[in-house]
Amino acid sequence: MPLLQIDRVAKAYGVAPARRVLNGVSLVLRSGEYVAIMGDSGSGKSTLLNLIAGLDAPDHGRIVFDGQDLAQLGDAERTRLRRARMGFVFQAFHLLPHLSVARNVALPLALNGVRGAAAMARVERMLESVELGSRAHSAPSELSGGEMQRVAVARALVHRPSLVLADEPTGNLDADSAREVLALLRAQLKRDSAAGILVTHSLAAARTADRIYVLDGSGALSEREEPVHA
Amino acid sequence: MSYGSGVLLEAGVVGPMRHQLGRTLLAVIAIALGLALGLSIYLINRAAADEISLAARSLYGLADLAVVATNEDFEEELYPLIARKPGVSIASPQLRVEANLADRRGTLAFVGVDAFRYRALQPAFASVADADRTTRTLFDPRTILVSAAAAQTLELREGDALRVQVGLDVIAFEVGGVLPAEAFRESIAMLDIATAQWAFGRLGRLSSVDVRLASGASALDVRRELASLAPNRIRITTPGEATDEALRLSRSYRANLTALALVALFTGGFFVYSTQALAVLRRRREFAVLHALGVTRRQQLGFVLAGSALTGLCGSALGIMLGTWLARLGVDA
Ligand SMILES: Nc1ncnc2c1ncn2[C@@H]1O[C@H](COP(=O)(O)OP(=O)(O)OP(=O)(O)O)[C@@H](O)[C@H]1O
Ligand SMILES: [Mg+2]
Repeated sequence: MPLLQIDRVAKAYGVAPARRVLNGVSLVLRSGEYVAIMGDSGSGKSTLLNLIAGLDAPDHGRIVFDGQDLAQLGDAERTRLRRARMGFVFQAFHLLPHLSVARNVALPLALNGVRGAAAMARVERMLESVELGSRAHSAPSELSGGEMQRVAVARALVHRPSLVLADEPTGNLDADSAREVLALLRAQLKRDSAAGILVTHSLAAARTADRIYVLDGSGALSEREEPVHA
Repeated sequence: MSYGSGVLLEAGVVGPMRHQLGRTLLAVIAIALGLALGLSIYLINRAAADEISLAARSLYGLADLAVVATNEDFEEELYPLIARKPGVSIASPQLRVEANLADRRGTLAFVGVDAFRYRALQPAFASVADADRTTRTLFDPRTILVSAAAAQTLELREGDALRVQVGLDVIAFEVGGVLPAEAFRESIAMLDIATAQWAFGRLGRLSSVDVRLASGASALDVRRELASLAPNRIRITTPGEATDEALRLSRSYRANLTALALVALFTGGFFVYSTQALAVLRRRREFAVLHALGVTRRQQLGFVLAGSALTGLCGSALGIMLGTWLARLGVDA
């Protein structure tokens, strides 16, 4: 059974004239697969990620995560599913400014009931693997953009989710930091055999994934025919 | 507290409060001020009401009724009629005069009493260490007793002279003793009733007669009987009514204070509401991120409520301390 099954999903915003953002989008993702989704600005990439995360509901079609149709779940159940099984990396980092680096990373563990020494050890190890072990007690505001995004990657992976959703994670980074964050994201996903969806504008970034999909102006998703990552 | 719940508490409640320390303190202070103002006004009000009823009670002593002049005074011929009415066990005549002090600014109430009868109605007076000497002092036409309150404000001690202006004359009294604080809460001087009538030019006049009923007598009947003696010149009151009257006099003043306290509380409450509403608006993006990380709506509500409760608790604790302190200042002043 695939981890994620998106079946002819459609989503429009507004009424008369409604703007169709997604139009019959289908996608199948198995455990441990890492795909990129490209598309112009406004083509509906973030919208698709929000639907997958259960933050929004499609107008038509089904999204099935690990055998569960998201539409069948209530908001609280979807939130708990997201909390336990998914991780998020945002373009604007979105670290909590009032928490230290270590506590930002500890948050998903606390939410999932991992407490005490076990939690602390996991936070420490996670920070080591994104090469920020020495910055555990810094405030997010003391970090560079690249460092903040590495913290966000650590936060998205610390609770060992089955699926990581990354929305333009390198959009605010310089080329070097972007490369570093993407390499780290891929390495961590592969280490944990987690599936990942990377949304990006950049072909170079998209090429770090196993497959590349393109969302076109009409709201249709298709695989880009190009051999990547042999 | 475990590491996990510590992280949650800091992520959702304490962290945001600390991050916006200025706003948090402002909200705490607003609650504290509103509560302090409301509480201190309430406490001062209550202290005033207590003081008034205590004063009335000490004034009446054991008296059940008082026959008081509707104007300034009435003729003393009424006194034996009152004393002889069936159902009256003790009748204690009094003449009260507000006199100008000669060497100082201000006035002092002089209360002329019949020492033996007065003693019978005032247990506090009778329990003075040397009651007999005190009583004798009252019969001496040159000496007065002063209440503890008067002794304090006028800085009088036993043996001091107190000079009073009556018309063009100045009369000198000697302070024969200080009444215990329980006996009289007001600031007054006490002297023999005959001396008072003579010294203040009110021969043959009384301002009130305190009455103790005989056991078994009907208060209503006695009241009606007494009132019929001179319907236009006297009226009958009871200690409770006197208290009520005094309270009624200060009621509008106290009602204003209460309204002020409510305004303060309301303003504080509105301020707190608007700061919290603003804080939630400001934290919308933060909540969106938390929601994406798996914080349910219910947990978010919990965070907001816990933050408000914490702010309210700190503000209230501070407000109660401040209010009690303010009230003490107000009552002592
Ligand atoms: N909540 C919303 N209400 C109305 N319209 C929306 C909403 N969210 C997105 N849209 C519209 O849907 C379209 C797709 O938005 P989306 O954010 O998914 O694009 P995107 O591909 O992520 O773009 P970008 O690369 O700029 O992030 C846009 O035209 C946007 O204006
Ligand atoms: Mg987007």
